[in-house]
Amino acid sequence: MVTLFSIRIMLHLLIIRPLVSIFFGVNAIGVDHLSRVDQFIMISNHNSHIDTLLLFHILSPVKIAKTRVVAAADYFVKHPWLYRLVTYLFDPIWIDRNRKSCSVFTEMVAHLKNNGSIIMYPEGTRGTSAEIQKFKEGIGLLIHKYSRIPVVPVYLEGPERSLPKNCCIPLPLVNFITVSPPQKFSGDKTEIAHHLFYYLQKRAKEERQFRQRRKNNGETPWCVAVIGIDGSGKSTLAKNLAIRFPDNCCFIGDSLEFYDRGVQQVSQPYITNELRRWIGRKAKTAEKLSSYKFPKITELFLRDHLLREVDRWYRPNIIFQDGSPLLNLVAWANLYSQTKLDTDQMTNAIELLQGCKSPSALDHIVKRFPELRVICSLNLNQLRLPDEVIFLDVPPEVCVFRISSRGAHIQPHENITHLTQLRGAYQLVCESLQSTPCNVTIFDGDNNSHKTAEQTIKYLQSRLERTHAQN
Amino acid sequence: MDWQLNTVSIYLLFLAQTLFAVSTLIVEYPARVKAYSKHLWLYLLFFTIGELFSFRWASVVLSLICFIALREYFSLIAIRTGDRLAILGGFLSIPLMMATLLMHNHHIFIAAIPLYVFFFIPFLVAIGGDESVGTVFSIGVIGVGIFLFVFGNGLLGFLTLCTPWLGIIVVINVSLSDAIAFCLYSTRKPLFQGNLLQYLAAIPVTVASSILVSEWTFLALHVSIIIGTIIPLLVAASRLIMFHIESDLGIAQNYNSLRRGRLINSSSSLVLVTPIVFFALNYLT
Repeated sequence: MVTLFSIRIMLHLLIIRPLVSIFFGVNAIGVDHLSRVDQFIMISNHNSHIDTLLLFHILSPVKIAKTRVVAAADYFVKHPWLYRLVTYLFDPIWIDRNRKSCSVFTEMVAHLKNNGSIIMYPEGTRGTSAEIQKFKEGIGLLIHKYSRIPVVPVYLEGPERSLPKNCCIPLPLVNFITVSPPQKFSGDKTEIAHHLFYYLQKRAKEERQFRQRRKNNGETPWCVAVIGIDGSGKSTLAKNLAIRFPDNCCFIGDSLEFYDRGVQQVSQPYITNELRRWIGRKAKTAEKLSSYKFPKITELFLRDHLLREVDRWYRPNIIFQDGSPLLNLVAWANLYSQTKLDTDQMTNAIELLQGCKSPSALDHIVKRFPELRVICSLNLNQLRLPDEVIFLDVPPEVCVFRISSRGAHIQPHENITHLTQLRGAYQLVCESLQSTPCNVTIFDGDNNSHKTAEQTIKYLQSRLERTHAQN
Repeated sequence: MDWQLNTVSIYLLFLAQTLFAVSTLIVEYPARVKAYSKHLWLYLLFFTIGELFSFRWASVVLSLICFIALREYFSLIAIRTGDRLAILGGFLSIPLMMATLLMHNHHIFIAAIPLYVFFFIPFLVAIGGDESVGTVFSIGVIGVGIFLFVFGNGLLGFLTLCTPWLGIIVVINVSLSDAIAFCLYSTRKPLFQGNLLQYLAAIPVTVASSILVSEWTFLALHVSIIIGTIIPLLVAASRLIMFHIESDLGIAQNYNSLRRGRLINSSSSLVLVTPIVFFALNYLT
């Protein structure tokens, strides 16, 4: 027996529904399809927290009482008041995405057996844009098991603009809900998931063809990072590449320089660059490894910011970097850590620092490196992964010899023990990059610097041609 | 309650429009007629509330109309993530409009909105995101929205402040021009050749209506005739402007299928005509 006059349903009808209508504006098409079914599995694309509010907006009071949404507990438990509010209003079937457990599936099955209906987001998480991500197979499994229950695909358009991922202030923009006719599926779980994915993708394409479009922003610069331990000659190589590469290039190292087919271009002084250089000098004159850490991390973040600034204001075709803030951070983390990271953990750390994964999903790494939590909470985990990585592999002994022959101040980590550890860490970084879109090449840095530069230019030109051919 | 003829006429107009709007729910009318009747009902509600209660409450209705129109407009344009702050700023121009209306100071309003679009919106676009590409487009597109729906509606509010019938006659004449053009619409003729005649056909009707209510608008006979003549011509030009804007926003292509952009389509003539009429009246009276 469904209680229609509960406070929860009254809240939905008298408060949430009018507020959503006034603030967001709901334009629903095909809602009458829902009146034809008593029980359903509703699937929808997921781009925003508003999605659930909109889907409940189109349900009748009887259906509100009988419908539960599958929601990510790991996200909501971080805000206890929100968790309690959502639990009260939507009575979700909580799913913890960090743990693989059958209890959620059992709960869903029990609810469906009880004549209840379910709202699911088969993408698993909110997408970053209006693109639909690949569906999880769980939806296929549930529909396969309960093929008698009709599936109602719903396409939501607008929430990704009203309240997209990583934004906290909602904008009052109109949202469109397209409810498709109820459907029944047969076939295996993968087929069902694929069918639903292509169905919603078709709806998305149909909708997008009417949308106003902006001119393409153009290509983002090709970012090449030369990495290696101190004294490996990475800075010299990166600068040589910027000078000798026959294109519009930028070099980001100790200095910031622009070259157009070998001719140096005049650039504006950047405050970020000046600040970075000053902090970099502080790091270099540090006496102990512990006092080196903070200025170095700051310098790396400023260097990444500079990369964006250069991309924004100068748009060179290629950016050559002396090191990569993202990869340097991960390699240095291994140097500071008592227990070393393995390849998988490094891949996870790279994804975390890029902002592709949330810290809650990688709790085991965040616990070991509390700095990571600070970085994520300050929203600094937006570091850029280079498109191409050149690793200059040089034995630490050679590097120490080169460093001492410079006659400059020797930094606390510039000794054979630490450089050997760092070299190992960079090798691990290169291995962990195999599962990313970034391409890694190892060069022997023990050669003459001009010869290495020539080899690298030849290699990069062939890579560039291949990339253009693929595009 | 005031029972003078001019006030009762407003109530009757509102009542008639309410009945027509209700009838559109029962009888099958073309989608454009339904949407237009809703939009007209909202404007007549604004005048009726002003007469029944006070201009303060009427300005709330006008602000609501601006909000709904802006919400619809911003939903259709291509925005970048970095423009979100500027769009929020766009919505904040509505309280600014309301404040100047309540201060009865159209001088501030006329200066404030262009300055808002000229400086404040570009500033919000600049600090909102870290991408420069598309900045001019964003500033332009948000500015157009504010000018259309806040500036246009705000000046209608100021016309109403002078005398309610001044605002009403603009709304009625624009609606009459649109209605006559809709009735004479022919798909065979291109927009600005054959269709201009449809709007010219509305001139005798709009001139007659302007003269008919001149006692309540306090306009001289020659001014009433000028206003009655220029409104259909301005509506024709507005429709041409909006035809291009709507094509770009994707309203024209799927007006019937996806039900988007209907308020923009209905109110476009009014919001484009009102500023011209406001300045014409300022000059002529």
